[in-house]
Amino acid sequence: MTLVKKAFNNYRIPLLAAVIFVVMSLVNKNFFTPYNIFTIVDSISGYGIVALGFTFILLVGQLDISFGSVIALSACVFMMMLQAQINFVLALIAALAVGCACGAVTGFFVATFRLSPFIVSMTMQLAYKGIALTITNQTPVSVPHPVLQAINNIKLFNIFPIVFFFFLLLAVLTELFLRKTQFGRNLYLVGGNINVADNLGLKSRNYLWSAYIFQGLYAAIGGVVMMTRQFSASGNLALQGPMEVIPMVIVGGTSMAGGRGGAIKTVWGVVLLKIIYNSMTMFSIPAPLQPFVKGLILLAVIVSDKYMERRHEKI
Amino acid sequence: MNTTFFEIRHVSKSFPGVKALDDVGFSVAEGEIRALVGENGAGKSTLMKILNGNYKKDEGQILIDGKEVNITDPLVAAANGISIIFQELNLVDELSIAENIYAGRLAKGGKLVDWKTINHQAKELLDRIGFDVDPRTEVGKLTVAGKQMVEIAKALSRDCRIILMDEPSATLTKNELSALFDIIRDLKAKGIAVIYISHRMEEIFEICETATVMRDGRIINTVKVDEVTSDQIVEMMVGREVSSAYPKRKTQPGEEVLRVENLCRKDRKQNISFTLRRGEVLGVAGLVGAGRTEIMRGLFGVDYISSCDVYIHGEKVRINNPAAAKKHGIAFLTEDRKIEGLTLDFTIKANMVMANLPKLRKGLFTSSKVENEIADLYIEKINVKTPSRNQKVGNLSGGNQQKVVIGKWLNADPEILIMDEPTRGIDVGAKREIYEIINELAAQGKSVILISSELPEVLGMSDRVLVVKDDAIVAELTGEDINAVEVMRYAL
Amino acid sequence: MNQTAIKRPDARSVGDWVRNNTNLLLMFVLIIVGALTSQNFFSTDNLFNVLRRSTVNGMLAVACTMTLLVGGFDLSIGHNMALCAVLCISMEKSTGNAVIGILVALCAGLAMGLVNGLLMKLTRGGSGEGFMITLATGMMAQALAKWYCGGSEIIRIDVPRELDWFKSIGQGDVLGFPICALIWICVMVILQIVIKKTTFGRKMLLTGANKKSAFLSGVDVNSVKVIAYVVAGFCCGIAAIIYAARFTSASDGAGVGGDFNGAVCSIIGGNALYGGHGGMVQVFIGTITFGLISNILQLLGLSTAVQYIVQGLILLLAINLDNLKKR
Repeated sequence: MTLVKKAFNNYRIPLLAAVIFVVMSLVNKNFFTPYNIFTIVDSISGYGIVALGFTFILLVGQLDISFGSVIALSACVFMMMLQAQINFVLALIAALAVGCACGAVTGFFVATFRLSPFIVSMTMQLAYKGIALTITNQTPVSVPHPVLQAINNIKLFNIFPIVFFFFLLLAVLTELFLRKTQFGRNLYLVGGNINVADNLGLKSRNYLWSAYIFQGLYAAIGGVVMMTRQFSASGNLALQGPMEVIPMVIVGGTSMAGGRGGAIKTVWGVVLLKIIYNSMTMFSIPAPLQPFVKGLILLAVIVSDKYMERRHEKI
Repeated sequence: MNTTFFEIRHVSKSFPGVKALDDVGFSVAEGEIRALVGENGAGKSTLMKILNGNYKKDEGQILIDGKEVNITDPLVAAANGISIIFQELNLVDELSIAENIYAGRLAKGGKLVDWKTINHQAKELLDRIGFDVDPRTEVGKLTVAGKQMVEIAKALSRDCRIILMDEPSATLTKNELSALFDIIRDLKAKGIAVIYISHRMEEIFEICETATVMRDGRIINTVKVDEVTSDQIVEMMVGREVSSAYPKRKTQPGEEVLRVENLCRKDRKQNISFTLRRGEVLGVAGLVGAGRTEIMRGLFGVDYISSCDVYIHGEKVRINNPAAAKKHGIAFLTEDRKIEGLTLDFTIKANMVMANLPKLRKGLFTSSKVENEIADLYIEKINVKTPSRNQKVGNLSGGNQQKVVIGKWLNADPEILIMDEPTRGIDVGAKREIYEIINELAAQGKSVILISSELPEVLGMSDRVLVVKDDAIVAELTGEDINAVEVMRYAL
Repeated sequence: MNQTAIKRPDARSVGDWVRNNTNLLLMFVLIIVGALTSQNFFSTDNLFNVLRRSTVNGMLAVACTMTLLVGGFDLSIGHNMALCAVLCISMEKSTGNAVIGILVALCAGLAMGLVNGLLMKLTRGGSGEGFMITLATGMMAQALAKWYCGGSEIIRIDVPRELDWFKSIGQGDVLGFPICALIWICVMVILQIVIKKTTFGRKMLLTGANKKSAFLSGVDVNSVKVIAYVVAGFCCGIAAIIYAARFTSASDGAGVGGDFNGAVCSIIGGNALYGGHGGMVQVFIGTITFGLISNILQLLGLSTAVQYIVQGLILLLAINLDNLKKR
């Protein structure tokens, strides 16, 4: 009995995902088909990786909405370098470096000047997007690079794209980092109770900053992974990034208050939401209304989280 | 056995306007269990914060094994074998017990964290203090007692030699307390010294060997516990001239204005009832954390309560928020004036009028002329020292800030004023002025509920004193019974 | 007697004045820069053009400011406006009656504001919760707008002659002065009076500056917040009407960036991020400053992309100034 209860508590989100998956398979003939499974799995990797990065931000109790533009900027840099016939690896490194740099700038303002993370990231979102649009001359950069096509074509059982396994590998590595290294644990400490961290003599500010750099790095990786699917980047790529990613991480079980959560939890959040979104299409909910449901899910998660936290306070 | 290893010499510390520690010195032997007692504000917390490296001492030395150590931050304190368990525990609720114990030193030199070993070591530590719990449990799920055990385990894990415990019993049940005492005796056997800070005499006599008494930032005496009685310790704690500092009132309390029955806070079992009369100053005494402030917050509608019958002039009224309380003529000067009483970056005049905004209205709009008049009236009336009514309240001294809070509430024309620690952090001159204001209010027929942790203040000002302990009113003292020994007997 | 007694703390030196009015100075600097940039800058045409183009952002800035003043934040204003504009245009198209369109837009704005406000009340939220909640409601409003349009822009092809008065809200002028700017200024004057000269305005500022002390002084801070959000929603409705009248068309994308522009206009005018300080004068200064920046960048022939970067940098500068002032 207690075992069941414990399993239920710890694996709520995967269980829910499984239940929806099974029910959908039974109810809708088109759901459990190789093509649809591919659709779901294929949609996971890009934003899934970005969600892993956003997990860092929430773990230290901060916020960031600039990562949509970071995805766009690093993807643009990547594609432009490929277009200029620059070595694939060099282009990749450049893209990741751009991502880290963006995260570092945002994090610098938040951690060092203690400015509001909302406003800073809102501003940086605009600035990064502006840079991306400027360097691309406001036209999409399309390069059907052979390496990208090759990656796109490798599929296990003709269903599971190789980048999906890359996403899973990255998730496992991230989880290991967060769970097993002193640095990772310190992130939890800073997010959980910054005073305790200070009392232990940790430089909390640097940990906050590092979370933004991680976020930038993962956003860049996400951007590159998206390129293996669509071979084309523009300054307007991932405009809806934050709307997609933030609910995934919170639903997965990483708390907005900081100090609680993890990479694997985020994976399950991504999977659950992707299944739900896919089900919406299956039930032919009109496409324009799907963001409405996404917004509703985000709202429900935030409001219930905060309401439970504050229901004993009058103001 | 019993070699002295820890010594404090001539330690002093001043804050603006207050000398918190004045030439404090004592020494502790290995395996000694020492009580540190004193009223609130006697300087115990300041001393602890100096030992933990949160504050810098102005003068004096701290010696361990005869060598002076310079404690600059909590890490240095830990490295020197000093562990302090504060009432506000230094734990992260979201993390496991084991992780909290070894926080910041889970793995050395870039190695991966070996959770198996860490959990195992934590389990051993927990076993050593007889706390049977899975070290992987989240700390947030433990009771306060459990959290204290974790703090003790944390102290042990660092090979500490001296542990300071700040009122560990305040939140413990009887069984938990006796378990704690077993642990303390066990620590003693291992040669670890314990400094036990508590107000409760019976605990001190049960567990401690020696007691150091502090008062007004000074060490009054260090005694062997089995050579004194608890009354003698209390006398040393409070022994101070009481009457002279407090101006006398001539008026006598009149008819009943407020009756509170069955006040019970949310999720508590309590049943508070008391009355207040016209022109009366009702003192509320008790230890910090006894629940004095919470009772008043419940009455004033600040926190959720599960029941409370309030009668004003015999008529039953419903108070579910401060606006309603204000409508019924109650004012509440909170203990935290900077956050709850004032808006610091607003001007004096804006703060003065905030509790009675309708008074500003002339027709549809507010009148700045009226606002200026109100501000000037109270600046003059209660003697706020400021160059201008346009001064930001944040720039005023503590005493003048408190006067602005008083002015703010007088402007709302209350019948009943609840004052929570009205003189905390205020210099002597301003204190006297506030006492005079209280007396004048009583003379005008207003009633005052005075909560204070400064015992002499309650004794000197009140017509009647309620003593609060463990969320309940345990005594009501009048006339000759209003003295330090009586109050302390009930409060401890 | 001594010098310190003579020097009153509230006496102002030139340095203090400059520090307290950086936002105003920024506006004047931009006017000078504008004059140096282009000969056309000081033509009435150009200046009225700046004003006309600023009004939609200006109304959104008014909305944003109402929520900032009570210590909240509203990211949904842009999409809220888009939803209202879509409803307004389509109602007019189907009924041929502009009054119905206007009423529907205002009601929709009010409703959005009410939803935001009640959610803020439920979560006891401050600017952080406001940010997240309105991020979600904004997304939902945009989705509704898109669904309502069927994904394509609603374009009024023929504006019936009898609806010319509606068009003039956005395009017409009185004695050369744009009507939409007139509406904007009227709304600001009314709200400025409410903020500075009524007890409700006082409650708003107290709530924003320190909700605890406000609550303990008897202010119903939760209701004040709800009302502020409702007013913000109403302002989005007005912004939508101006937008609809100016372009005689609306789409679900109408509000993209509107939330950001509104916040920028409010903040570079000098409104505090954490509530309690500011008002409509700051909104006016900020909106004009923002309009001038766009105008100058345009006169210089810079692309919109570069404009994004410059705007971002200016906002960053502005919030740094805000932070410095607080210290």
